[in-house]
Amino acid sequence: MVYFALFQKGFQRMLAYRAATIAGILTNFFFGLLRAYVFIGLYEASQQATIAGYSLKDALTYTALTQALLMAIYVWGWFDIIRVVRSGEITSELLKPYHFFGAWMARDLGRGIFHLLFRGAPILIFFPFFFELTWPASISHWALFLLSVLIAILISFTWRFLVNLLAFWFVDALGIARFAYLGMTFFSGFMVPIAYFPEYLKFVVNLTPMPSMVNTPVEIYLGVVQGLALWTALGIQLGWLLFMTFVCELVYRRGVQKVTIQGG
Amino acid sequence: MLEPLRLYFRLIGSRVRSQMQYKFSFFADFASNFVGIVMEFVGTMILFLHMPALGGWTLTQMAFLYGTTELSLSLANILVEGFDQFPEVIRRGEFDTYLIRPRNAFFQIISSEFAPRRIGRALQAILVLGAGLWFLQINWGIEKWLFLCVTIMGGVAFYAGLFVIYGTLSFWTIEALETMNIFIYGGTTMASYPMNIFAEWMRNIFIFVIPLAFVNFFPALYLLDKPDPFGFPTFMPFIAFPLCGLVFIASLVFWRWGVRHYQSTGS
Repeated sequence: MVYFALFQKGFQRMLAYRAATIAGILTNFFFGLLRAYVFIGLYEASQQATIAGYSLKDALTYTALTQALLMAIYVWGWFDIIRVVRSGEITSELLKPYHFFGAWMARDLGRGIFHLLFRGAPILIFFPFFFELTWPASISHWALFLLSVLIAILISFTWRFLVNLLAFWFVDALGIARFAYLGMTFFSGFMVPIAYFPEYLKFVVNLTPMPSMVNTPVEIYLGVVQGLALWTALGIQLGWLLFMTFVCELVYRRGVQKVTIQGG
Repeated sequence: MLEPLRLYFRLIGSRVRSQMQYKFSFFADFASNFVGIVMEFVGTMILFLHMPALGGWTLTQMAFLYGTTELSLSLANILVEGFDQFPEVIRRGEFDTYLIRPRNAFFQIISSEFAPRRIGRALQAILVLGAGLWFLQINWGIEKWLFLCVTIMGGVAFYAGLFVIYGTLSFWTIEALETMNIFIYGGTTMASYPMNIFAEWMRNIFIFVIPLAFVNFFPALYLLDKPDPFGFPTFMPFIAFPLCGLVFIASLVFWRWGVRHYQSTGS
């Protein structure tokens, strides 16, 4: 199937950058340590065993997890479709007999799985040499976490796809897109756990799909949400995925009639 | 004597004019960077909802730490942006052209690039630093204001040195450069927190190996009248400037040595 082939290509493409992968792991790891010490300082200064339901061990695990997921979720932004529109390659993209959204999603999922395995796993493997982390107790717990991560990658993709569609309307989409990504690290709970937020900010943040990209899988992993709350969290994730997919398709259909193709 | 300076400003002027063709992009860069800083600040503020101070440093004192490094880094970036882009010059094999032109190669590199967007970052750093100083309600004599200026100049020299080393390393390796970024940008992020919250081995790297702690942490101890958490001699804040100068001079020596050993890839 063509989508599976695209998935594989997305994965293989990343394999080519071996040195970059190693350098990337080192960087993510370094920032992980840095953030971990900030949390240690936080718990020391607050003189409390738990903050908003997170123990220090939870907070350190949160740090390791977010650093591990950061590339798979791609919180720093992604501009591939904007570039394709700019260079004019979009013409050949549109001529190909596949579903535009589906094709890009398949590729991105391949990339995401690669980053999960080669940028994420090493961080979780080496972090315990510095700090004690919590681990899921059962296979089913792991499975639910991974399922949540998978949905998170897809939701993140829909958001990035939507942002990239700006290029169909604006020549200078890159500048606007950068804005759209700025909120991602904060609203997704990558920077600080959403549980730490004051109530009104929590409310605002939960109106966006961002928490479903990072916060939900992390809370499932930590066991902050359990039982019914866990299934609700997964349900919300799925809901966002369906809603965002629908919006993407809608916007794409309008946008593709607008796009001005340059170059040749 | 004045001629190279005039040439420098002409070259930089042409760079600025070319970048000013993209006004929207300049504005977007500035604004997005600004929003980014605000976001990060809100993140830190949320942490401060749960604690009075981090490692004995209040939020405003941390703003001071952040403002000083960020200002030094962005000013250095403006001045030696060319070295940041230099690996690309090497990769394309264009360095040979630099060598046959009748001007010093170092001079050509620093006048080859100029990024106005970095001015935006510098302005924002000044804003954060200013806000920090305002809320700290400092009551400094002239000597402390002078010390602050010297500190920032030292920081600029330090970062400029790092960028020159970064560029020079690309004579030998392009791929390992990424790792150097950990020290430049990771170190800078680390320097916006008080050094004493980190593990000993980590902060020792940034005190003794890549002495980033001298760009802001040690000078801040003197400026903000804070006790040294490590019990170093009291002269630590005062050797910061000469040390930063040394880093810059060392980078120039390294650069000269690199140029002498440069072997073109040829083609």
